[in-house]
Amino acid sequence: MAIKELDIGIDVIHKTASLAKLKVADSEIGQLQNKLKKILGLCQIMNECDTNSISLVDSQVTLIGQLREDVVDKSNITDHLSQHFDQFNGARALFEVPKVIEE
Amino acid sequence: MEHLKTIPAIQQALLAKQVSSVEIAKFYLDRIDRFNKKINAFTHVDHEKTLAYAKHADWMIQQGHAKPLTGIPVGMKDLFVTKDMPTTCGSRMLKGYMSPFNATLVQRFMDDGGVVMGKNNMDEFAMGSSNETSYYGHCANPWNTEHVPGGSSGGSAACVAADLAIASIGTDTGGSIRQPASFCGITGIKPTYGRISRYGMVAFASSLDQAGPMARTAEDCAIILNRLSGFDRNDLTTSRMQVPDFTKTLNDSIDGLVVGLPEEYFSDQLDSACAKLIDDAIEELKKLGVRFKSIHLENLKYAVATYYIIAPCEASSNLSRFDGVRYGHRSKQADTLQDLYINSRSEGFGDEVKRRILIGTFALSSGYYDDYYQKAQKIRQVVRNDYLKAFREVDLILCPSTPGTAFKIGECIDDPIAMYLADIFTITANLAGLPAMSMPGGFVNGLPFGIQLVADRFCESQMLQVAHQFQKVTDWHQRHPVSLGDKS
Repeated sequence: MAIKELDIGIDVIHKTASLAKLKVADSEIGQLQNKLKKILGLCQIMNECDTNSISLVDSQVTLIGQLREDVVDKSNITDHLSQHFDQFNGARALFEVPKVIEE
Repeated sequence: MEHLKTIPAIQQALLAKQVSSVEIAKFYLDRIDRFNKKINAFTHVDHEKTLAYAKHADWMIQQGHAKPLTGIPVGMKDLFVTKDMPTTCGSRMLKGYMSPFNATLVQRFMDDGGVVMGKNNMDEFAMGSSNETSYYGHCANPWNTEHVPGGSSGGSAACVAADLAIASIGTDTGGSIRQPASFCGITGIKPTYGRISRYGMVAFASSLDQAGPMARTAEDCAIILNRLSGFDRNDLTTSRMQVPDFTKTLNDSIDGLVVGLPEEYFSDQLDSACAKLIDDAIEELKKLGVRFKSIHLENLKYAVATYYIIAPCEASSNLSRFDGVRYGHRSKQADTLQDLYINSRSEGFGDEVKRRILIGTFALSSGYYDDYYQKAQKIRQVVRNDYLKAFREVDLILCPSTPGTAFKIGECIDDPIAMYLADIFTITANLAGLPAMSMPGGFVNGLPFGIQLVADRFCESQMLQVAHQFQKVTDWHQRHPVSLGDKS
């Protein structure tokens, strides 16, 4: 598979913004399309790199990695959290969010 | 106080009772009061807490408990969470955010008796190369306030260059310590991935992010690195390897050391006046016995593209936590949970952050994942292989930190590609997880230029050794900017 020259259409912008939970105003779409096209265009150079013999087993974490011992630890940061969050219901230890189910 | 510009000088004066930590702290707070408005290097300064930390440092000295960083005033990049000061990441999203805990490296610094004066300006969520994407206003270069200080650790570099702190702690995801260090004429080191804990460091791209010291000298960087490095049970990616004393080997002979010069880094992209400064540095190092060898890092041309896929992909995932629910900005214009997510994120993030989240989301989305993300990960391995091969032939690599000196404020802000290319020489060390540093190498038209050293994994000592000995025979790191009208 190779990176194809992309026509970043309005539908792609809307779909990606929806996945990213971001709002893109209609007035911003043109400029955003141009910039994304330029950036993704830059990435087409990656097609030239032969990676057929490269496997993806390596990662930064495996280069370092040792897992810590899996032990149960006491953690009680409820008081700390409640000091820093206005919409924290201390009595029920819950974060208050807007109503999810609409009537 | 003017002669107290390095950590060893301050330590000596403190232990000899020639000066107190409180006096040093007051001196730097006064400079911040006078000059910070011109460069905006600090976005938060706490006079009261600074003096309280300094008093504690004096008490440690009095009790005979002084440690290497006791009484040293620093700035912390505003993405290390601090219990006593707000942490904003340069974003509206985290305006006024108070963390319930200190980042591991902040805690280690404070356990040593270090004096955290405040938080340094930065590009929003560390996404930028000029410090222009900060919600709290851009930071200016102390050498010429019409120019950028670099980024994303722009405030961290500018505060050291302007003598508003002895040192600062920055982070480097694609060059964010080395590029501003180069632009501001200071020394900055990105250690090996896994050397310093990332616990409490707000994540941008977790497989690339690494914290590191920024200071005038390589020796100061070595002293700070000694104290911040090492395993942390809260960060699985920290190494359990024994941390060497980086200061012990600084003066060991570098006679016979073989340093590689990658041909791909000395291309048309490099400014000719900067290339001349590199040649001069090579001549100085030759006098110290260093031998140079031409090498190839053939895949440099893929580095920027690879980075600008991997980093946004990781960012899109990391920044999904900012949803207006648990912390950060919460939109007032929301009737449903979906509205709350979308409006909070759209109002809280700036343009560059949104752009990178969109790129990352796109590259990870169905139909594009293999072409973009997986391909980029494979090229990352190819870049690593280049370095593995190179370090079979040479001990270190020397190259420019940046293609040129600091550009003007506003010059690249509307052209993301031009901005991204400012990182071309620094990105590969992050992709490969290698330690790298920038040291001052001279000036072009009154603006500093940095020389980069790259070492094999966990070989920071050799790099610091070369930089320290280079600084013993040059004085670029001792120069001070005059553009602030600084008479003291």
